Amino acid sequence: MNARHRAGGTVITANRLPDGRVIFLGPGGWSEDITAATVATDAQELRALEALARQSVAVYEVVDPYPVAVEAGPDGLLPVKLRERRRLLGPSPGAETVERS
Amino acid sequence: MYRYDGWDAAFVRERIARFRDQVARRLRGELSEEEFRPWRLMNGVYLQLHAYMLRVAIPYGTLSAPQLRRLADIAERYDRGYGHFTTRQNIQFNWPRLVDIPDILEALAEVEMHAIQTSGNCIRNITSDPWAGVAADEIEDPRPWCELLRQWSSDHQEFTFLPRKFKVAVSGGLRDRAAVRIHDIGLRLRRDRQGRIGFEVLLGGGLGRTPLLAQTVRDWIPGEELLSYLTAILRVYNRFGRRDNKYKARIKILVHDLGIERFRQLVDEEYAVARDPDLARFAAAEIARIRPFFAPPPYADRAADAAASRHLAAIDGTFARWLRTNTAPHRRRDYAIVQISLKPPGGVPGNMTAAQMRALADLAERYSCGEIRVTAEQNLVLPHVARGDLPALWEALETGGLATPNLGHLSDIVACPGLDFCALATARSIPVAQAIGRRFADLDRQYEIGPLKLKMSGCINACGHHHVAHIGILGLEKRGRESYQITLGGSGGEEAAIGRVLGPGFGAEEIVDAVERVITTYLAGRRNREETFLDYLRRVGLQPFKDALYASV
Repeated sequence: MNARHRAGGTVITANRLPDGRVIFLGPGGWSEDITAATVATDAQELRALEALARQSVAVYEVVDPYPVAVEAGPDGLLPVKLRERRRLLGPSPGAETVERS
Repeated sequence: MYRYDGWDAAFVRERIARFRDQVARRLRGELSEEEFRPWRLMNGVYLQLHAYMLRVAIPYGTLSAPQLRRLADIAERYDRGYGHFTTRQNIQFNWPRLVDIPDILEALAEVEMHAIQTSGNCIRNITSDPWAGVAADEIEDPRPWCELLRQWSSDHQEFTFLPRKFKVAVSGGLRDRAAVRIHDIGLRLRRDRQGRIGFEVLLGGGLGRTPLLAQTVRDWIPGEELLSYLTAILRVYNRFGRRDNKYKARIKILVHDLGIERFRQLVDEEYAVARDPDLARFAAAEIARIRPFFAPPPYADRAADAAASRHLAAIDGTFARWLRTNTAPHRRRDYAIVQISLKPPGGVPGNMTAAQMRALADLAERYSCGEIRVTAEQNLVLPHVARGDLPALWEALETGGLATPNLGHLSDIVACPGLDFCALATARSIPVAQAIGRRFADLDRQYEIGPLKLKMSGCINACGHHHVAHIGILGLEKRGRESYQITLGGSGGEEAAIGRVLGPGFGAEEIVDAVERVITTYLAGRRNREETFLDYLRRVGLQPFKDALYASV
């Protein structure tokens, strides 16, 4: 976790257009891994990230990008809001039915 | 079961081709998300919390064995090996890729299924009695009428962009098993003194943030006039329904604001214009064409071995309790209606694995004339089982994990997907349902408690129907934490009622204990075992429960 991740701030998230998966915008592009996300720590940085996200919308990579407040958790970045945490972490353990072995 | 004719098949194929083209244009960037969204919704495709979700229509809850097998194939090939049956008799897949959905729709079309109008502000899947055609109290099988309505409402040019979604339920029995009073339009099939089929029309029911029960707008409309009369209702709604506020756009708000008398007057005025003899003749002819598809299957006379299940029940208590809770009287004495619980202890309500779907499809072919029904309480039904086959069927269901004998009891919990999947949800439903299911897993205790319906929703939209549960739970977010509010006294059936809020919500770690206290309060206060939870509550009101849950606060 780098210093920005420890400090918290805002990341940009979206759903990937072809499969709908949750992704985050980082210096290397979009990733399912929030630890690869760029954390904006002020309004100017956030505006720059949002401009990048809009470009991705324009080239049909992503759907509905939006900013999410994040903070440092014990295992890395965590969204502040309950909904966004669940969106990052996926369904609760056991909330999906699997074949009995 | 209804079978597509050439027109039906061509209609569905044409829709798939159109949607395939829309998906391709979306992926190429020729359609923006704003432009694409209405089209994907009209084809049952949502963008949920983690992925796209596909909602497949199961018209009036009737499935064939090959259709259930095909759902298993789709679950395995395109999803994560399971499906989720919903409170509107549909099935949802949680993880399809947008790029695969046209192929999924093709696979569905091969078995005469589709996802048309499972979302959007249009007339949704018509729901009905899961015991249709076999219930002992049935006036007439409502499914031909449901099919007529499905065809009439599919791609209806006038009613494709209503102010809001529109749900219709049709009941054909003396008892209401289709929850007609919580639908935008509820239809109760009736015969007049001359024996003609018609409907009582109920209007303006719905749950969500403003729960209201439907009121009778017309005592009786002849069957052949039904389409004209519904046209009149929908025209009034289309004209006066609010499009400026999503939360006030359902017809129930319009009925509430105008009053049922004024609404009836408007409908009658419109009906005078909309009444169409050609449409009536078409409806009569189409019903005559459709009815034979729903003729009773060729039942073998099984009176000779009908006592086999009684004999086994006398010596096997496990079988006896399943027989007691999970079977219901069929209109033939040598047959039974078998209910399959999709609520094993700690399981996800309404979920079924691909292997279970295939196993049940095989059993349906062997024991139920190849037919399966989906219920609004997220369970399944085998509607045509000879009583002589019940022991063998039960053994096979046990093997497949499908013989949980808890129908109508506390662990037969209805739950929406909640915040584990749904983009609208404010709290999780599934883990709470699982925890309650585990806490009350002891079947003897559940039987001691007696008939009880617990339903929970993960947000105010109430897809889990908590308003009409004996014990309802509504999940909300309060200050960044999940909070669960209890309502008591709701009922979705014959004596429909909206539950009343008990008091402040409970945290996720408290809600199971709170339910436990509700139950112990009832058990301590009831006059005897015959006084059900709902009877007790109606006798004493909320106060004893408030005392038990909040006295120390």
